Amino acid sequence: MQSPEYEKEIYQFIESYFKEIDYISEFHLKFFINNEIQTIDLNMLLLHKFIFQAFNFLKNNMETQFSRFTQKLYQDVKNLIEYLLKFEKKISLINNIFENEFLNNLIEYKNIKLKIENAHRKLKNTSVLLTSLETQLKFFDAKTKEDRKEYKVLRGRLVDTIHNHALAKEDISKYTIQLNDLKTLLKDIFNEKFIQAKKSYLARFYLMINTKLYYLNKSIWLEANKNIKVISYNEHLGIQQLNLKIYIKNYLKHIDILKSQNYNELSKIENILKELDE
Amino acid sequence: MNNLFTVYNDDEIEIFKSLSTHQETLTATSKLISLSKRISIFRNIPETILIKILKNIKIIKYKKDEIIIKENKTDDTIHYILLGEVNVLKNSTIITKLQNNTIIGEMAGLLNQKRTASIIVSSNSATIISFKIDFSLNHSSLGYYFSIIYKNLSIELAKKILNQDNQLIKK
Repeated sequence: MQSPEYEKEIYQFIESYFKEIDYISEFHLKFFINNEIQTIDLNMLLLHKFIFQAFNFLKNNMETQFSRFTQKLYQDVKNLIEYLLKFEKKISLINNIFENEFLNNLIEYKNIKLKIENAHRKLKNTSVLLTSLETQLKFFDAKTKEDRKEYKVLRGRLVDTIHNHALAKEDISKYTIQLNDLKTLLKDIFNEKFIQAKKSYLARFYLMINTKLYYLNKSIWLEANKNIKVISYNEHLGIQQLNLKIYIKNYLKHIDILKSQNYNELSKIENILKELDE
Repeated sequence: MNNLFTVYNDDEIEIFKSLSTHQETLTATSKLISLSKRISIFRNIPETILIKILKNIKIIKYKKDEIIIKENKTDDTIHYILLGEVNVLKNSTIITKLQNNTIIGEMAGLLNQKRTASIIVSSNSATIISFKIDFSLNHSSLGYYFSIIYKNLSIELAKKILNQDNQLIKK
C-alpha cells in the first residue's frame, strides 16, 4: 500500500472539514483588509467572558443604551465565539474523526470492511452447516446402496464445508490484518496533517475573533466612560477611567489565585492585561 | 449560519477605524501637531519637541449632553475642540459656551488642580482631541520648552483676566 495516494485523500478530507470555518475567517479578514482596519494579534479570546460580563453589567447599570454599533458588534462576536467553541469541541477528538468520518468513507477501507463482514457471514453459515452435517452423519444409518451413496454425498459436503469454514477464518484474519495495516499506515499521517491544518485554520479564525473582541472592548469602555453613572463610579473609586484591566483586577481580587485550580489561566490573563493598552 | 456573517455599513466601518489604537494614535498625533500653531500654549514649541512631550493623544467623538470634564475632578487631560459646541457649567449653572478651535482644561492640565467647572457637549455632537503633557520627562533640553509652555500659559491667563475685567467694566 502506498501512502502518497492516501495523502491526497487525507488532504481532500481535511480541506473539506475546515472549509466552513475557513470561509467564515476569510469573510471577516477580507472585511478588515478591504477597509484598512488594523488586525490585533492579542489573545483577547481568553478575556472574552470578562468582556461579555462587563458589557452586560454596564448595559444593566447605565441609564443610556450602548450605541447600535456596540450592540451589533457584541452580538456578532458572541455568535462567532459560540460557533468556535462548538467547532473546537468537535475537532478535539481526532481519533473519532479519523475512524468514523475519514476511514468509514475511504473506498478501500470500506471494501476491506465489507470483505470481513462477508467472511463473518460465511463463517456463520458454514458453522451452522457443519453442525447440521455432523449431526446428520452421526445418526446416519446406511442400510441400502442408495443410503451409502447419500452418506458419501454428505461426507463430501462436510469436507467442502470444513474447507469453506477454514477459508472464512483465514479471510477474516487476512482482511483484519489488512484493515489494521491500513489504519496504522494512515493514522499517523492523518493525525499529523489534521493537527497542522487545525493550527493553521484556527489561527486565522483566532486573529479575526481577537480583532473583533479588541474593538468591542474598546468600544464598550469608550462609551461607558462618557456615561454619568460610570463617571460618578470612577470618582468613587478614585480612578480616571474604568476599563477592562480595572474590571478584571477587581474580579481577581476576590479570588485566591494561589489556591485557584485555574492558576495557569489566571497567569495568562494577567500577562494579556499587561499588553492591553488603556 | 447566516448570523456568522454580520455586515457593517460605512458609518460602522469608520467607527472600527477610529477604534484602532495604532491608526487612532497616529491620526490624533498628526492632527494635533498640525493644529499646534493655532494652540496658544504651544506657541514657539517646535513640532519635534511636541511629539516628545505630548502623550495619550486621542480624538474622541462625544454626543449631546455627554460630559467631557467634570467639576472638582482631578485629572490632567487637556482638550481641544475640533468641532462642536460645549457649555461650561459651574455649580450646574451655564457660565459660558465654547466653540471650535478652543482649548479647554489647560489650567488643571498644567497645574494638576481640581477641575473648576464642568464641560458638557451642547451641540448634537462634538469632536475633541484630548492629550496630556508629560512634565515628568527628565531631559535637559526639554526644561527650556516646559518654561515656554508655562510662559504661554501665563500670557493666556493674563488675557483671560483682562477679558473678564473688560466685561466687568462694560457691565
